Amino acid sequence: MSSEGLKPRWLRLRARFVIFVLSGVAVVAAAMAMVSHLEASHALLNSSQEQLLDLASSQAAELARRLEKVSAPARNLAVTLEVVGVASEEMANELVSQNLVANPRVYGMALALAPYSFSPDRRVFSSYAYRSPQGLKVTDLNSPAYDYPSQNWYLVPALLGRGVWSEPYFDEGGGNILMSTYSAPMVKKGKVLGVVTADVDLGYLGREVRSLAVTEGGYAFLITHQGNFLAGPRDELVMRQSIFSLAEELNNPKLRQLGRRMIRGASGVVKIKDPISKRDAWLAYAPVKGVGWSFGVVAPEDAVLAPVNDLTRHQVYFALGGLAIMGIVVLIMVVGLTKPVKMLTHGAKRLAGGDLLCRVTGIRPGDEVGELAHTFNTMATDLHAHVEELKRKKQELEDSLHRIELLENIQNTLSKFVPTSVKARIDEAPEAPDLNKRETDVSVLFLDVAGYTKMSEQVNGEDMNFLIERYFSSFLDDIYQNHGDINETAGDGLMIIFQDDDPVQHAINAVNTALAVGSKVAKVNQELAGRFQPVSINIGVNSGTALVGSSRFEGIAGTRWTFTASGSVTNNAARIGALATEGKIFIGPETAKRVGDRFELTSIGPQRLKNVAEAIEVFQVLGVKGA
Amino acid sequence: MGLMGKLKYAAGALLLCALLLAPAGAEALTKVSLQLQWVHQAQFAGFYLAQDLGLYRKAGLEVEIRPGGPGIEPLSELATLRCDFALSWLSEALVMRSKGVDLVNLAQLVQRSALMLVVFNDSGIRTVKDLDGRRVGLWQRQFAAPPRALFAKLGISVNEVSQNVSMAPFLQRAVDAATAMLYNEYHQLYQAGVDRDEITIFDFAEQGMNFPEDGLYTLEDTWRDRPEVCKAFVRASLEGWRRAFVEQELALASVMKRVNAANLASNPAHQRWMLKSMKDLYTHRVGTVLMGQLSPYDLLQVNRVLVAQGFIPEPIEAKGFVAEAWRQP
Repeated sequence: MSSEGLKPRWLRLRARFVIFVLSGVAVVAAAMAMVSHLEASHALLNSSQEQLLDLASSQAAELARRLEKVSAPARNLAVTLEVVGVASEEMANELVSQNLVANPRVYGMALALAPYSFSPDRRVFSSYAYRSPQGLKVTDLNSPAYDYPSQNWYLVPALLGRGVWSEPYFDEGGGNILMSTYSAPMVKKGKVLGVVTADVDLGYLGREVRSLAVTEGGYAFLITHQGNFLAGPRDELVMRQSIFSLAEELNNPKLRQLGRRMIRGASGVVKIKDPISKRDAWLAYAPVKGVGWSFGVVAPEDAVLAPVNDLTRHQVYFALGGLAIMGIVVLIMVVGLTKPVKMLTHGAKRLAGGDLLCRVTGIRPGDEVGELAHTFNTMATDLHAHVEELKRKKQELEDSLHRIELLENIQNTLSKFVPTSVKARIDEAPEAPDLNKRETDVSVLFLDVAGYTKMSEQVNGEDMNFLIERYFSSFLDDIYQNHGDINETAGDGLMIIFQDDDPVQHAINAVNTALAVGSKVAKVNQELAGRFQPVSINIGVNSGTALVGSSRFEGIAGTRWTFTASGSVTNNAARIGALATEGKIFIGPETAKRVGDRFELTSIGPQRLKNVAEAIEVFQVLGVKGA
Repeated sequence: MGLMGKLKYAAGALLLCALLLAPAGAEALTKVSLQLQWVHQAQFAGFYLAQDLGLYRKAGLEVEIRPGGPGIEPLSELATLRCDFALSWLSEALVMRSKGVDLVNLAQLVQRSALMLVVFNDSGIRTVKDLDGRRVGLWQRQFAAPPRALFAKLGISVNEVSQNVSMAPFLQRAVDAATAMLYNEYHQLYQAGVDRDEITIFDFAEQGMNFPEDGLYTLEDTWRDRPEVCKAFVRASLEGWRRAFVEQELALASVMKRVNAANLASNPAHQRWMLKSMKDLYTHRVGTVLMGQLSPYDLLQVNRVLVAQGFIPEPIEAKGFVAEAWRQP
């Protein structure tokens, strides 16, 4: 019932129950899974970060060791030559070839003397041995176009006075390979005598770095002290991009900061958005000591977290399975609960539909629902009893009403025959109406249709009745309005009694009635003119004290009660009326006294009336004063 | 589409075919060649774009753009008739002309010198004067003229180190200062992890040594015999540059196409920087309308320094040397 303006629930009890319970359980399960996932991830990330850094450091150390094996022969030779000096080209050629043969990791070796240091008339002096595809080759680097003293591998160590690894470069003269050169200067008494160099094949190095198995989807990379890629996840990066150019292209200042830390020889682990795969990843970096390069390994976070994700996935599966089973259990329980409720609802509906004999059966007693079912059945029984009782009472009531109706009908019918005064008396005390005669001050009006006897001879009975009804009903309303009681009808006349607490008022009422009747008759005469002879009504009114009440007439057929005013006032009224002709209204002296200031009266002089000793003065009513 | 529309469409397609085929068939193109100063890079983006957009073809030319590199001197190529047009710095051209090579300046492209010296802030060098007695990497030949003139003017003496194409000696602190071009080495330092606020630059243009750089040159004979070809080439080239400054990404694509084809060690970020810089250098003072104009003041200034440094015995006059092939008729 939405009588309280409540919003109806949009789910039935069963669905609601299942959803609430399951979502509660699901929230708890999810929270547990999340906590375990976070903790496991955290632990795993920590350990794998360490692992990643270890990997970067060990690889960087391994690389440094290998490069040391390339730089050491050059450094040793330089130190030796600082002491013994270079005697001839042959000696130089032999030294570099022998060293190259003895050091398989070295791609090529050179000995280059400072300008004019071999002899004042010779600017350049050099010897170079390298591994060509055709085997070991020995040559020199003396071409004026090449001008080795201006090459970085010579220039930088010579200027700095210490061993230096060059930036990688493509050696287009030799094996057309990507190489880097270590140059060790020969310094004697602060003067640079020349440099000894050893080249390393970076193509080989790069392949090794690339083949480093890190993590699935991860990779290793190597950058130089200028940030240039020596080896990386994509070949096109090598020697084209630096970590800084990549940062610039990607507009990624963080990557630039990382690059700056790397080329300064720092080590660490950072979380990055991998520019290659665009995924979250962890990057560990460590310096390649002695060279100034930096080694990095990248492991995608999802690969690192794969075991945790697997674990979490399993947890989710278990949780979903558990939820399904839970759902079934809850459903069974809820069905057990809601089935009796449904039965009760059904029973209540039938009850509401009027089936009072309906009882809910099949609900086990012993719990709340059982109690409810019992209460329902008891209620139904009580209700049935009540309704039966009600029905009986209703029948009685209906019977009474029927009787009252009959009585009312009788009253209505009878009241047409009972004068208002009698009705008033009965209404005053219906149980025991006082119908005894009482002395009451009244006005009595006698009304006579002039020439009634003559008229009844001229027109037939039907027309006669029509005329009487037509005239009489025309002034019946006036009589009632003026509270007159029609007392007697006698063919062509009426006796009307007027009563009022105020003796003047009923006299006025009587005269008013007389005037009204006069004008009504004139109107009806006009309407019927041409069809019937006009009728004139003569009226006599007298006022005074009379015996008013019922008179009983005992007869053979039974007793008949009549209500009337009897006495001389009535007799006189009738006789005064008999005096009136041509529709005149005559009133007695008592009436005239009472209404004299209201109506225009004229005396017709004292008249002798039948059975009355003294002559009494009779007045004719001409109309309302001032009208 | 109505019939008229279809007809228009067909007509358009035909016209396009005609345009594509016409140069090959109907009208023979004049073959010319341009020698660049260096390997393919955004320093020459306008020429690439003129070629890729067909501006040369429209001018009736088929242009071969030859990249330079170490050991290739464009003006020598021009002098030995191995190319029709060459790019060169004004100073280099003046030296060549004083040596008797009759070359003319068809258009001066780079108005502002991009040449600079760079020093690390932590070297303690604050002004050019602080370079006194320090190792300074200098490119040789006439590239060394502006710094030498500046040092002479300031009365300082530096330890000159012959500098090659690499900034490694500077980065490894083998030299205290190095020569750099705004559009190239300066940005290479950035791409080597050096932040802008870690270095100080001494800009030669700001030091009163504005040597106009890249200009288009040809031999006097060529200019006399085929002035229309020269003008057509210069104007189409300048149009290519104007387009390149507006449609930088398009120009960059043209640059990278050549850079990748030549397997050069460069990257798009660097070339983008270079192109942006070239726009400033080309439109400095002249805007895009007077592109090609050689400022007489700059000519005077370069002459003075070259004479003072002993590169040329006497100044080269504008008359006969400056051929304003860029001017619109």
